[in-house]
Amino acid sequence: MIRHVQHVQRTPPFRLLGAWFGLLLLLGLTVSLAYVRLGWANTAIAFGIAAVKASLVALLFMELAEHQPLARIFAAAGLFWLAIMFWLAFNDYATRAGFPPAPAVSATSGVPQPNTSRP
Amino acid sequence: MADASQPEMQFATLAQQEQVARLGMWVFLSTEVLFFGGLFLSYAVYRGAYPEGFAAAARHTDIVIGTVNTAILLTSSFLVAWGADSIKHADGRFGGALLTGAAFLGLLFLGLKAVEYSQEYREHLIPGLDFAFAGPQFDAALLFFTFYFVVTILHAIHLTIGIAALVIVARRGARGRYGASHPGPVTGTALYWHFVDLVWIFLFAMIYLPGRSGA
Repeated sequence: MIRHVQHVQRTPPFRLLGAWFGLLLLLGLTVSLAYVRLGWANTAIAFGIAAVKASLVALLFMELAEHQPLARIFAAAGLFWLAIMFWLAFNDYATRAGFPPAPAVSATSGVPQPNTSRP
Repeated sequence: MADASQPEMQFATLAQQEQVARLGMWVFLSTEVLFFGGLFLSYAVYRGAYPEGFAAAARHTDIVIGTVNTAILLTSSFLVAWGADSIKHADGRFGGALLTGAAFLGLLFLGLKAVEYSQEYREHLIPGLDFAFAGPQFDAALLFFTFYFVVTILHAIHLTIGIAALVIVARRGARGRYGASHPGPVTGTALYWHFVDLVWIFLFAMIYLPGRSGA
């Protein structure tokens, strides 16, 4: 044990403190903006802020900003394969006729029937 | 147990061992990205198909508990990053205390999640347990809550593993087993914990935020 001869600094590094404050601020911002009626922009803002928060965690808490480039490549590999999965899947779902399936239409009234019980 | 201040036999130096441990954890986390990514993909497909139904269902989640739990996880990640930093600066006792604090925050998260599940049980929002949802969005709400329970339970399992890992590393760290040149499993455990936090950041946007502005 060499602790007693060292100057022990028990304050968090500034980059970690800044990331924490930034994350909590962004959390407050995203919850507040979710209650403002902005149409499709609500979804874009929610996931945009989530991406910024995730970047703060990855770069500062997971130390991707300061370590060897190889770690960043390894981290990016997961996102690369994820992008391929989303790309191929939406090539299908975004272009498929009959998805989503149309709701069942009543033969007598011609309006979609609300399904309020277990199928 | 092996002496943590010496590299394992397959490594030339402690620095090499540390680098391999970091890269190995990132390989594992990349597979985890694809594991949760498959669930996120199914969410994207069905939310795109039933936007109003997902918004109506998401309004039935508890945004207060969701927001508090997000703040708890973000704070726990801050404590883990700070604790790992302290251990690497030879302050194992303090670093161990910070990691223990983060583990307690993880338990608090699970406790609040249990409160949330019990509310959803009373409101008949658990698929398969007398699920009920008034109005025309029954089917979409059933899809939403099926996703909700699968993904939050999987996340809770990951968090439980993380809590166990943190407790072990915190105890060993407090006993001075790790140091600046030999952080041992501190790096990997911290990376794993941050990843579980990262998954939750996206889950929060997917589960709690849709439909809050009304229509």
